[in-house]
Amino acid sequence: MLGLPLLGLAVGFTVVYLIPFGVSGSYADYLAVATLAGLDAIFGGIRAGIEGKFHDDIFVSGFVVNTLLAAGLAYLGDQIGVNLFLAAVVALGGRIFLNLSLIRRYWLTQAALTKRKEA
Amino acid sequence: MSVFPSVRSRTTWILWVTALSIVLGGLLAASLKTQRDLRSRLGVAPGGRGGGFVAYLSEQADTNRELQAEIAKLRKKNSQWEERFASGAGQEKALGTELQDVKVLAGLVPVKGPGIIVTLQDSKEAPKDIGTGLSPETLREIQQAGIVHDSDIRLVIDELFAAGAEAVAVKDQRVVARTAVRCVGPSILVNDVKMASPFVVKAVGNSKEIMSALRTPGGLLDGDFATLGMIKAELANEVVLPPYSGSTLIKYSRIVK
Repeated sequence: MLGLPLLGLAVGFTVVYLIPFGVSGSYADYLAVATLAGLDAIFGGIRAGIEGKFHDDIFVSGFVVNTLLAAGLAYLGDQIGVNLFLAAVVALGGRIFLNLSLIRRYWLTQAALTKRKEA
Repeated sequence: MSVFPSVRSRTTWILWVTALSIVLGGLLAASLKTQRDLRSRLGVAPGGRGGGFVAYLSEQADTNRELQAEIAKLRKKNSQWEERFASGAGQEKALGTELQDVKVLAGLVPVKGPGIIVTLQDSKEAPKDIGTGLSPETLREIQQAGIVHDSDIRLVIDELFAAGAEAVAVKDQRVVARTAVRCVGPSILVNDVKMASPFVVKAVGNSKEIMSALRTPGGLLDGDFATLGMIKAELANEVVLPPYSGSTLIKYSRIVK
């Protein structure tokens, strides 16, 4: 069931990895935090999907806005001298852990319920 | 709230997640490549907020590279104009010729000619007969003896000039009056350009004379370097030496009349 997104991940990864372009060093950090935001959006989407509360518009807009916002905030933080990069990392990291644990819970609950039904 | 989402919405949301997972995969790949690139270029792992120094450094490295390429291009154009100037008659010709000679001496133009190629490299042989029970200092000395140091490169350059070389280059860096050879950790800087073993030193001059000078008993090819397998020299019919590509700004020196 979750094989499809993993496949998508692998495809996207391979395609971009093989393209011979590079991002200038000064933008490396913004790219990193944007990736983190994307990761958080994906996990959030998976959790929402498992819960049955998935909304495609929220998901897609969340992904796009969060990645751009994370990079933008990190950039703004650099300009005004506040380490907003750190704020983004902490917040996004926290949400990723939260979503992952909820996903795990739903899976285990499903598995338990399926077992009980078969029993 | 149902724990089992309906079959239809299960399929749909997976497709959305898959679609954006592709984008995420791309972002991951880009981040990975950038980090690897930075790591290899700067020799240190970026990541974490080093006050933006790493990013600044890599920017500077990029700019430097571009500027050096431009310098090389401009100098080449300059030389072409001077050559044209020198092909005139009388005074212009004399001036032009002298200018070219001076430039060769100063290392600002590429030169070619017969010469010698000396290769210095870290010793590949394991130290023999050390046995056990040696102090860590002695072991370290033995290990250090097998590595090429900046002083070793300086020695080779010295010997080559002393033997009559007219121009010397270490790898792709021409040795000029301002050339400094320094050690920075495991690498050596020549003209502020990082290099590592093996060091190919080329010299233009009378091949046979230079070679016999190097072969003198007690000379470069006869001493410690040779026993450790760190040096080798060969005659060359033609070597091509690149021009010096560093700064030639003169800010403090004035000619004494």
